[in-house]
Amino acid sequence: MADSTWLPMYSLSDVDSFQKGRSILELVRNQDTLELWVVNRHTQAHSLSCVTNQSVAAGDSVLFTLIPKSGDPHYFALQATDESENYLGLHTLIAIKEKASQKLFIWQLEERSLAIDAAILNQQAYDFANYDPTYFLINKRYNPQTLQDSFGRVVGGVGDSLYILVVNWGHADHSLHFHGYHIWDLDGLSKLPAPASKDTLPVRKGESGRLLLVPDKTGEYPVHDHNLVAVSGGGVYPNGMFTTLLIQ
Amino acid sequence: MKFTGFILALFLSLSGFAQKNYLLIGRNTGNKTLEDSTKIRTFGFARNLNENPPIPGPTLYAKPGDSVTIDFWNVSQGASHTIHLHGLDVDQQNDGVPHLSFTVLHMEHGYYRFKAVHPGVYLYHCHVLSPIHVQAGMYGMLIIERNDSLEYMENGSLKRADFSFPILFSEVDTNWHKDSVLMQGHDAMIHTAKLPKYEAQYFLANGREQNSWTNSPIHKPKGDYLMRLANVGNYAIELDQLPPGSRIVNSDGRDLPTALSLDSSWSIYPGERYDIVFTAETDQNLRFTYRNLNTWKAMGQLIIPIQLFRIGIESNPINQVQLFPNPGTGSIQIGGLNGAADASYRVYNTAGQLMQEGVCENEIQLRGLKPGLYFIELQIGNQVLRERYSLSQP
Repeated sequence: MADSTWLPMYSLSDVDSFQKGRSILELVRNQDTLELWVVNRHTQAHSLSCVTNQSVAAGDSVLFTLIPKSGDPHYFALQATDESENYLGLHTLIAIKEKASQKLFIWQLEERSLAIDAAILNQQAYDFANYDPTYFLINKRYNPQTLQDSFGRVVGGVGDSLYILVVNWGHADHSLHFHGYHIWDLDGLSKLPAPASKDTLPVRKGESGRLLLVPDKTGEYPVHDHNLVAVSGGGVYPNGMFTTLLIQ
Repeated sequence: MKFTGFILALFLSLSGFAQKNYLLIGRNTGNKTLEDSTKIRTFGFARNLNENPPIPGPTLYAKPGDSVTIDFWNVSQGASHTIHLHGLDVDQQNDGVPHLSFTVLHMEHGYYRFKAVHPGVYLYHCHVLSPIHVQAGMYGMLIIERNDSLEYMENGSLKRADFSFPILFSEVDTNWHKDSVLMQGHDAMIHTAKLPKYEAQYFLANGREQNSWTNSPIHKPKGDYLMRLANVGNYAIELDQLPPGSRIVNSDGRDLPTALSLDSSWSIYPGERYDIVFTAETDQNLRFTYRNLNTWKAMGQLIIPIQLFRIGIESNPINQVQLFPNPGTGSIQIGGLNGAADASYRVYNTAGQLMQEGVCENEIQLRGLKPGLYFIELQIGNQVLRERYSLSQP
């Protein structure tokens, strides 16, 4: 991590080297077809799920074919079927746009607990009953690295329709607070009748949904977890779940 | 030109819009005694220099169309602070985030301005080292109400409750109130801090713990209630025991197009606000469970009783009123008042001189009085309560 803490982490990358959070893909509904080859550069086999389940041996590759149609969800999840591998980051998503020009940003939320990391690495038993994470991430980054994230940093103009796809891969709930604007909760993350206009909304573990922001003014405005402890990384504030909206 | 000026003046006088000005004084020298006699250091927002900053800070009110200015005077022994207007969608300059807006240094004034637009419940809090300064007590509610505190919108129709009351949830982890945690980063350019593990031991609603609510419940007649809820803590608040027929009509300062009936539990996540309406026909125990967002474990619980009385038959409301703490340092909580619309108070010294008077909601702040004995006269309608009050040094 940026604070030099070493965390075990799997990565799916669009380049042939280890890169964090570089694997988000986008498709246009009723238009694109994706033939996605996943190459396993790791030293052990993995079982992956993306609409279908497939196993990929060390050094081998598998093909997923994705054709987003009407009625499909707003993204395809590509993830390990094994919980510990999933926790260690072996997941990504293929976002589905309604049209090619749609401005879509992706926030994948997750946390990391050093105790769980150690248990997995040492092949010891673990559970999340006493989960006490100390890193809180958006697209595997924390503030201020989140500001350099081309997938997640929301940049737009006044009057734009800016869509944000939020996916909580983690094991904790988060409460995202938007400065400067109310957003539209399009898919009922808040549990209120959709679309609800909110400035703070829960993203419970395992849940996902789209948000729509139509800025009415320029400026740079934070978005952060309002469990303010989660705006820390390794116990240091503000190295946590924090980014900004940049409206020009 | 004269004609134009007359028309403008007439419009302004008929519009009902007002310029609202509030003074909030940032203090780092507050203290709070918890119900088990544990004393903690607090930060907070006071209204005058003699006041121990209350937790929460004073509730600010405005009406749609009002122009609001908050004069924030930072008297905090070197620490910088800001005010973030949570949910009000203000521009960047007024947003209160230190590195994106401005920071108010020790003994400086900062002015925050906004136009009140959408009725509902909002928050204000310091955004400097926000986990620490919010935990320290630098937060309060801001309510934009319609014609009065009782009106709300439900399914597109303007309705009126018989009673309303705000509840602001928060927690205290006493480890976070040690000087080693509170007093870091007085340099205005330092905005990083080491945070201890968070595990709250005390669970507050309007700054009050369970015994306070048990001893001084909400005491009103049967009727329609508008409950205005906000959560500024780090845990979720689960409402799992609400009166039948409870509905959410507003969240985060936006009316719901269609009210949402609460058939089972509902959770208020950190930073969220809700207006919930219900009809109380019998006594109620509103149960609020504080849940850790990492585990969903119940960390604490508060039960707020609503005890109903029948006007003119069973109860004399003034008998339910309590002034506390007494002795105190000038910040007097009024338990059992529950928003009586016609409550007023007068403060007399031992010579019988009137020293201070005003209308009151749930507290009285004594200003500029020397320590000593006073008499407080509280009037609700034609009923009067008189109590001796011992004012001590803050």
